[in-house]
Amino acid sequence: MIAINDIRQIARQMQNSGLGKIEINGKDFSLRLRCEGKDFSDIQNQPRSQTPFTVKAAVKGRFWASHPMQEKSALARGAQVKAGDCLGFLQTGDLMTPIRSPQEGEIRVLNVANGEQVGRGRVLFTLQPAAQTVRHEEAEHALY
Amino acid sequence: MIEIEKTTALTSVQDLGRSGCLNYGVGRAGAMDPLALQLGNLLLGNAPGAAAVEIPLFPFRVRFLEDCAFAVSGNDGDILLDDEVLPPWWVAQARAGQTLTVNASRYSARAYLHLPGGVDVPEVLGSRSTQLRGAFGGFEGRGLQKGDRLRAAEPARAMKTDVGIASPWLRFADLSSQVQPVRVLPAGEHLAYTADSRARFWQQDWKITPQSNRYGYRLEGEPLVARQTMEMRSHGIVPGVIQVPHNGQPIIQMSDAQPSGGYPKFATVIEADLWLLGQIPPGRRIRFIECNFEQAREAWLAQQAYLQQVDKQIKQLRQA
Repeated sequence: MIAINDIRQIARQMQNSGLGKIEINGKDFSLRLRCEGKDFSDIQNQPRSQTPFTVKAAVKGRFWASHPMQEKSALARGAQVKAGDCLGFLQTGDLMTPIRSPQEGEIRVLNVANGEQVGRGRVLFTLQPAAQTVRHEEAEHALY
Repeated sequence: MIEIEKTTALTSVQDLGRSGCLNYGVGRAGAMDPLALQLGNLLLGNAPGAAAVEIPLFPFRVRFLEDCAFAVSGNDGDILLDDEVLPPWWVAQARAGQTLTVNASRYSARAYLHLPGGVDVPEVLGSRSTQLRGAFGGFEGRGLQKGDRLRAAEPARAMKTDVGIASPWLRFADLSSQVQPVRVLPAGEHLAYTADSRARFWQQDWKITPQSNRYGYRLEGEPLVARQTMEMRSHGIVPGVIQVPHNGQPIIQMSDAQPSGGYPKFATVIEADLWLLGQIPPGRRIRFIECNFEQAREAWLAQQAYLQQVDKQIKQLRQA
């Protein structure tokens, strides 16, 4: 969670800097702030939020960094992935479910060991969103 | 509908085979890996014995002419939908115009491409398997060629895709072993061979020679010697029977075995291990493990229980 004092602090900084909108995504919260009367185009060339995001286990099962039938190297820290890329598998009984990245980014932390049994909702990967300068329309889309 | 873009003539449409026709002189045919055939069908929600495309040589490539789900089973090589890599033993959704490429495996010799409802070819004598010797069944009674178009029986059926199963190799085979063990029962003329030969049969590794195909596997090793020359009348044989011709080098009858033969029968591969044998490529070696009827039956029941278990899990997943 985020402390209310931190939100006040962010709001003050927004006023001082003239930033119109901000969105912060943490591990278990999402915060959107809007400052009235400002021109949103200020943020046109601001980088997108750099807050890390996590990929969680959608089902319970055994985690495999790569398919047990294939000798492929598992994704390591620093690996770049695209949205939809397969980060590994969860084996539940005989079924294999892919673990897919929801967005582009770089793997920062692998929170699970190969072959480990994990529960549903367990954080498997922490990724840093890809650094990119967003265009105005995208920024608007991202913030609304 | 799919169109074959790259294949060899050894690719064919197969189901579980044409049983009950041996008395007409019609061999069984059917998938060399019946376990993969059934598992791939279960992934798509098909009847376990629905017809699929059996692919023995790679790369194999098809183009989807319409949106269609599909599954690839049997192999662990790279499978590409356009340029997206798919995991092995997987069900996925293709869109019209996409190309599927199946590449060679590390462990297994054959891959199966499954379509919703099975590959839509006419049933002949109770089966959709290609009978290559008789030139009937399957797709026009022959192996597939570039430009052939195959239809799915239920092309528009929607289903959960992007899910797979752990390979049966992880459960039933020893991936760390260079020489796969194959369980066999001693057969009719077993005791007609010298004690040395019988011992050697179990002790040595047998090489699967390049003269091996869907009809049979010719093995190479120290020859088996009969105690005296045997001349036998032709009699009924089935896939799995290990015959010994005069040169002493065994032949294992496989899916396209003819229904009769006259060579002495040394042993028979148990039905539960035929899928594994069907997946071992020429050049590799196998070792025979003696078992009894009760063990063979237990192995068969364990495999059937496994298939039912996988079916149940996939059905639960679809309901979720």
